[in-house]
Order: sequence, then C-alpha cells, then structure tokens
Amino acid sequence: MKLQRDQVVAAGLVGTVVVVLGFASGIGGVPVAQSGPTPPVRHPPAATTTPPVRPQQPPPQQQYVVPAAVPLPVAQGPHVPAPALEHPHPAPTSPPSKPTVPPTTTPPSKPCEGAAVTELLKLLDVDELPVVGELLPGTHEVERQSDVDLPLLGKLGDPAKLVGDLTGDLLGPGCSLVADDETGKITALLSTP
Amino acid sequence: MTEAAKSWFVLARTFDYLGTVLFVGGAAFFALLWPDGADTSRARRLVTFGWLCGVAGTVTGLFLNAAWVAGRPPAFSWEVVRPLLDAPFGRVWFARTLLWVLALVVLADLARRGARAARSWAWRAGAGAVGLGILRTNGMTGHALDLPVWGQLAIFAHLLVVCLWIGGLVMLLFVTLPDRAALTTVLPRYSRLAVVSVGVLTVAGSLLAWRLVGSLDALLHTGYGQILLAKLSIFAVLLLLGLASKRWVDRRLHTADGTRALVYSVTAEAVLAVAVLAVAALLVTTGPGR
Repeated sequence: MKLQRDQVVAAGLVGTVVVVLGFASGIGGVPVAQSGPTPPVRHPPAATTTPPVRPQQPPPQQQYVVPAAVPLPVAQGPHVPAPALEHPHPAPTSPPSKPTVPPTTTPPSKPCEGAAVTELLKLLDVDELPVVGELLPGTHEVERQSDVDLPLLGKLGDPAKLVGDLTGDLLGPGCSLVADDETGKITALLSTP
Repeated sequence: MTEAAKSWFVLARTFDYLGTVLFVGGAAFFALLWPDGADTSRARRLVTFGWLCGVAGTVTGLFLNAAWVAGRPPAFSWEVVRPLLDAPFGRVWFARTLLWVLALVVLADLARRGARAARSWAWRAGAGAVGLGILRTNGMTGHALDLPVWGQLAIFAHLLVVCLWIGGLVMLLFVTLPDRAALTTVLPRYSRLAVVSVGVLTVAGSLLAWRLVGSLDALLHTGYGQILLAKLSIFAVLLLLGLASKRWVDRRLHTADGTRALVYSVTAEAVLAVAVLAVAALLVTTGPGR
C-alpha cells in the first residue's frame, strides 16, 4: 500500500500530539528517588509518632520515610510555585507582596518543609511528624477539614481554619497532611513533589 | 497580582476559550456536518480567526503566568518564561502553545485542499488529534488537577461538546445562514448534534459543579458559587433561545419564506455564548467554593 503525503502528515501530527501531551504530563521527568543528592532512608516511622500501620497487616513495600528535620531529595527541577492566576493556588486578588521564586533557573527546592510545619503542628498536640513519600496502609491524605479529628485539636481558637490553611496554601502544592483512617489523628506529612 | 493584571489574564483566557471553540468547533463542523463548507472562504477565515484568538490567548496567558511567578511586570521575554519549563503547570502551557503551532498544519491543509481535506480521513485524524490535544490541556492545570479520573473525563466531555455546540452555532450564523440551500441540508444535522451536546453538557456540568462547589451554601455564598450562578443564568437563557431555534427548524425550515426569525435567535445565542465563555474564563481564575 502506498502512503499518500496527507496520510504521512496526519500520522506525524498524531504522533507529535501524543509526545507533546506526554511532555505536558511530565512523562520522562527525573524520578524523585534518583534526582536528589541524598538517597531516601528506608526505615519505619519514628517511635514518637502514632504508627499508622496496623499490627496484623504485612509491612508495606517501598515506603521511604525520612525524619521530619531532614529535607527530602530535590524533585524534578526547581520547585516553582504554581501561579495565582488559576486556582487552587493563592487567590488572584490577594497575592503575596513578594514573589516566592527568583527568576533564575536553579532556585532552591524543598518539597516539604518538615521542620517548620512540625513547629506549627505542635500547636495541635502533634509533637513530631515524619515526612513520607507515599501513603501508608490505614492512612489517608487530608484534603479537607472533615478528614481530621477536630476535637483533638482543642487548644486553638479556630482549629478548623488552621487545618483548612494547612490543607490549602500553607503547606504548598508538594506537601500535605496524612491522617489515620480510624482515629483521624494527623500522623505524618506526605511529600508529593 | 493586581486587579489590572488579573483582568488581562481573564481577557487572555476569554480569547483562548473563544479561539478553542471556533477552531475545534469549526473543524468539527467541516468534518461531521458540512465538508463542502470548507470550500467557502468565509468559513476558512472564521476557523483561522479562531486559531489566531487561541494562539494570542494562550501565549499571553503563558507570559502573564511567567511574569507573576518571576515577580516581574508582564513582558514578552524568553528570560521570564524559561523557568516555567521546570514547573508542571508551565509545561502544560508550553504544550498548549505547541499544539496551537501544530494546528497551523491543519489550517494549511484546509486552505490548500478545502472540501477534499474535510472529507479525507487523514485530515480528520490530524485535526482531531490536535483539537482533542488542545482540549486535554485544559484539564491539566488549575483546579482541574484536584479532580479524580471521572472529573477529568467530565471536563474533557464538557469542553468538547461546548466546542461542537458553540463553534457550530457561530459557523451556522456567519457561513450557513446566508446560504439557503446549504441551510436546508446542514441545519437538521446541526440541530441533532446540538441536542446531544446540550445533554452531555448538562450532565458533565452538573457533576463538576457538585464536585467543585459541593453545597447550596457554597453556591450562594462564595465568589466561585456566585460566578457559577451567573454562568448558569446566562446558560439558561441560551437554552431557551436554542429551544426556540430548534422549534423553528422543526416546523418552518422547509416552509418559511425567510430566515429572519432564525437569524435573530441564532445571533442572540452566539452573543450569549461569548458571554458564557467570558464568565468561564473568570471562573477558572477563582478558587472553587468548597
């Protein structure tokens, strides 16, 4: 069968569109575990935190856990915050007065500021949080206030607002809270750079 | 970002949406409903105008995003845009720009071969891939990222049927209505396509509104909810006008002496459709009501 020019052009277009969409999806980017200067430590969560793994369950596979004070390896490229121009990033009408990223090609990148957030979470009676790379069995990512056991957060004037802020802008796009499925207690920080 | 910068961004998104609707909807109109229309210079100019709007809106949006991230005043400079390549949302904007460049190949073939291109499977495949690719990038940024798979599908379907409906409506208004012979052939086909599109649009839009707003309280008392209400109100009027047009097509297409009533109705629909696109552009720059 002889291919005509328009068929070749169409096939080229389809292939190029697939490649461009793959590029947009981040396919082919450097994986988290390979790009950082320090390989992630693989060990159980710190003893001071509530272990989210139930005793009767088998140990989870491929769970990379580092102490809260140790920054995670650099993700793919600089950690540029998403713009305020579109949701869910900072509200367009009230942006920060200073840009958070300098116009260089190598800005610093820390997907999950564990120490700073841990200080803040001490207000919630949570002493120390491990930073995990993926969810452990029996836990879930906190997406809204109702995912957290609010009565446990008693000391604050408006705990709902604080949790809302934490699940919203404070932690940034690469970091979120992890809560235990049964108790609703915050058990870790999930870094998803 | 200042209010002025936000206004420019909303304007850029409006042009982006308008261009997407005209280009994708126009190409689909040729491929599905009226291949002979591709021989009409006015129809090709309309699709080309859509391409220009899409490119202008996307590139302007890209530079406004880049300027905001860099903390600089908006400027068309590679130095400002370059860091965006390292950010996921920046890659999506670049990809969208590249897809608009690819769309130029589709346009060039249409200009060269006209109706022969619109009838060929090769052109349809190429135009379909580029058009669907452009639509897909809409689900890769902003609050669409928070949606599960069904939400992504709903966004894609929502945008696709908007393009088929509104893009076809504009083609109908500017190209088909003045040609009575073509109108008799094309209008019943478009009418069926519009009914299906509106059905899918309603279902997909309801699902997305439920997911992004979540409650009546949020709908009434958040900025996002109120903008959505405005959009729904215009959409309701648009539906009524569409219903009137359909009744005219069903009852009077083959017997009426003139098409003035239909022209008025379709013109009003097109104006309201552009208003809906502008409101949609405002909506994507606002945080969901949840």
